[in-house]
Amino acid sequence: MRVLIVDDEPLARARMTALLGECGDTQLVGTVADGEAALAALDELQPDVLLLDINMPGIDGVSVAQRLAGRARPQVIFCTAYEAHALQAFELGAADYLLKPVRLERLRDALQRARRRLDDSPRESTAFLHGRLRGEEVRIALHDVLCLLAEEKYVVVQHAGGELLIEESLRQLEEAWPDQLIRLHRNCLVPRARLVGLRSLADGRVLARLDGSEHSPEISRRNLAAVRRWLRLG
Amino acid sequence: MLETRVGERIAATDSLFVDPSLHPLHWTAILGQARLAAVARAQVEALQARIRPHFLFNSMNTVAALIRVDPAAAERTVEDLSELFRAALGSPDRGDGTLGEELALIERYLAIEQLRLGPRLRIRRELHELPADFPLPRLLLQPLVENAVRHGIQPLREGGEVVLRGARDGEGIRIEISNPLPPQPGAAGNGHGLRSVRQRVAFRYGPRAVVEAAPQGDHYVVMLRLPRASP
Repeated sequence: MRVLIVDDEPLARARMTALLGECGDTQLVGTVADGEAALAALDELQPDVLLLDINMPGIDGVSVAQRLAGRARPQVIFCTAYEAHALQAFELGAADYLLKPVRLERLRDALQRARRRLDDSPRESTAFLHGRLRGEEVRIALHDVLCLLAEEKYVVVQHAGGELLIEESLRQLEEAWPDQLIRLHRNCLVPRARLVGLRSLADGRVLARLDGSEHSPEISRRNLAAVRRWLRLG
Repeated sequence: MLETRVGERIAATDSLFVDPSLHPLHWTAILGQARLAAVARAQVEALQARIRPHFLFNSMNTVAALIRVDPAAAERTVEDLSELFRAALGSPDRGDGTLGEELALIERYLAIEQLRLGPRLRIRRELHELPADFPLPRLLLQPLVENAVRHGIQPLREGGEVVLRGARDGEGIRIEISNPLPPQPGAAGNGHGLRSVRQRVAFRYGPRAVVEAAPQGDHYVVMLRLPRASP
């Protein structure tokens, strides 16, 4: 298993590195000092597991896990000094939650849990939406989706590379991927992991800020409470 | 625990006033005052600085890491931690400490945080001719330094500088603790430590003491002016 250590304290990283050296069948692929660096390193390092500290400057561990929610890989193991976030951690689907100073046996258990979860999900566990683009049938990974907008006959999938039309309704999509998608408006769903913040306008409307997109869809009054609840996890 | 202590105090106070010659109403008024004093006293004790659990467990993790790579530093850290906890867990009845002792404790605390945060934590000391024997409630200033590290340095990827300033101020002293303004002001828990210090200062030094806390430019500065208190 490829492991990435994420912790802002040099000594904490050193200790975790030493402990990991005593766990068989793992490979340390890197150590980084904050959440931003962790997210930036995912593509290059392709970790199977993150050993993730919670209190860090900038993007903290909970926010990192939020952005990874719904993905089978990497699995998240939280490591924190104080049990203030355990409930959130499990709501975010973390494989385990370790308290510092971490015991070697506990770390081994946690890695084993992560391994089981990885084994249970096929290597290509990504969810795909299937649609049409200029007469061609194409698919797009759910975690590349920025926003799903209902138009008259179709749903428009906005993603990093452009747009795609699909035939399922928002309601069908919402029912198919309840853990991955969240409703902002009668005509709009977004991947939960994309949702990073809210912006309130002077006229009382509230817009969603989406990771990786300039587009800020409006949140209807009816959905606002659920959206806030989700964001409060961070 | 606290409840019991208040209860015991009130019971003890009651017995002083069991004097049948007193008019019942008068008796009630005196008892009321005594009870108020007991409650106030208990509150101040409860406010006495507590070391945050987070700090304890992070420090333990630091020690666990150091044992492998730098046993001498691990040993020093255990000694520093012990001194801090001895101060925090000591009986509230042993009275004031001194400014000298408090500054020494702050150095113990900073030594531990320095190991944990490395070069992200930079400290500047501008302490001039302070009276080391100046009487001071124990752990009055350390929580302010802890706040400065926690809210001013920890949220910054590049870290920053905590400045400790101190000088004589007539018969009293003037202390300033400054840290970079955090990126999101008012992060959780910012106010409690300060409120507790204000109350303890008011209780110990009375209305002549000043505690000010406000942003100054891109820094957050807490300033205390403490008159020499009557023992």
